[in-house]
Amino acid sequence: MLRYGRGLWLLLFIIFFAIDLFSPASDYPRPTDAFYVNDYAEALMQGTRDTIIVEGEYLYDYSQDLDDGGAQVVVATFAVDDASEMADYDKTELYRAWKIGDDDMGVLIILYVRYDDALEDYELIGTDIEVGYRMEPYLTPTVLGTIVDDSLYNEDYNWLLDVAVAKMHNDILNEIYVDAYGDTAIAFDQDEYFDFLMDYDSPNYGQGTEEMDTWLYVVSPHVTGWDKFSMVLPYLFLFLFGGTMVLGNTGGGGSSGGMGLRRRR
Amino acid sequence: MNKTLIYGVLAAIALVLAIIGLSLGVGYNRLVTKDEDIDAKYSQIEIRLQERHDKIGQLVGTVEGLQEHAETIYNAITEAREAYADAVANSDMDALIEADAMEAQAVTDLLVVVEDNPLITATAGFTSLMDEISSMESALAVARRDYNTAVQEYNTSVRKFPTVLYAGMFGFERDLEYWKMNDGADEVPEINFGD
Repeated sequence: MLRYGRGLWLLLFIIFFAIDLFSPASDYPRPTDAFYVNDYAEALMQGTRDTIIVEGEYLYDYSQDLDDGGAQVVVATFAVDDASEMADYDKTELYRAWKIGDDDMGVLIILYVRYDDALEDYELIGTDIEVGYRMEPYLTPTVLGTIVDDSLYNEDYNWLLDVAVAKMHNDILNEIYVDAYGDTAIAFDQDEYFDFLMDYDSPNYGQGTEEMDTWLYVVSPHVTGWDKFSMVLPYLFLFLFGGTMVLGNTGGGGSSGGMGLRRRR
Repeated sequence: MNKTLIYGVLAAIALVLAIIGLSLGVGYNRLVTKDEDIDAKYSQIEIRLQERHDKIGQLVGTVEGLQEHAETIYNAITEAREAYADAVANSDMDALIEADAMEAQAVTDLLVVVEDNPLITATAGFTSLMDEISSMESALAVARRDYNTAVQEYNTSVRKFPTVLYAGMFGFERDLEYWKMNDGADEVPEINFGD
């Protein structure tokens, strides 16, 4: 009996992993386990990454029980050689793959950067912003355009990418807090932020530069339907034998329809 | 004949009938879901088209002196808007696709005129106008793509075995039309703000 039991488990293992092996791979990177920041270009300072994570988590928790709640603001960076490479990224598909925001109440900010060897720093090549269906009334292209021009393309702030990104992130959050939830705006002080960056001693927040581990990904809401089922099964088997899961931030399940903004130099 | 054999045959027939029934039920429900998905995606295109229709009206008003600068473009926009209004009034999908293409072309032409004309680019709200147009066209492109993907999935399902055997019986159309645009007409106009 015991011998048959072992054989059955072995057979299940083979079936599950075979299904997993033939599951279609996504064209897009998974979000990092920090979710709110996905600094694949490694262009941001740890202080900025952690600020985005903390602010993102706070907004999500704060808005959970409000009308149009569950808002998520996610930032991603990708390294490109020039602006033409921006066309390789489909912001809508990426938004949908990461399922940002509960009930389509999300924002995806993509920063395309290039490392300038002479300056020994990253320069911004372009920006894509995608807003979820339900976020559209609050963050219209006009509003987003104004925010981006006043931060990323404003010489008062873009002398340092981190400061410009923090200013933009702050302004987008302000729009959501004020327009969607009737709260008050918080002013951005770049001197204060710069001091914060310089003195920053990283705590134990996620780094936000590496793709989420496979075992975390398969138990997160980033995969749907049969794909999720087929990916989850092998790991579910493992969980049955004492595995525990520790999952950080994940997408709320949102979708979008192409609304947002594109800017390039 | 042996009773056991008869029961066995009856059980096998019942099992086959149950499998066929189950397959029919699941297949039918799947087609209904796909059909509903197409309707939802079509509605999304309609919403986006209406938004663009409304926005173009506002934009033409925003760009001061457009009629003086580009009479042809102004007329093309007016014609496209009228075509759209007629298509909506008649619930004519082919006419709607045609009106969509006309509006897309008119918007692209408008962008060329606007970008080449310093008098217009100096107009207050020019950047906002560009952002709105670009985003609107991007959203429309996504809506069209979603619709065509839904139609493709439906058409593929209907033609696959065993669905092909009973899809017609339940009144499902065999080959739904895609939202076809002329080459390049559905491309989002590229807005270059320069440095």
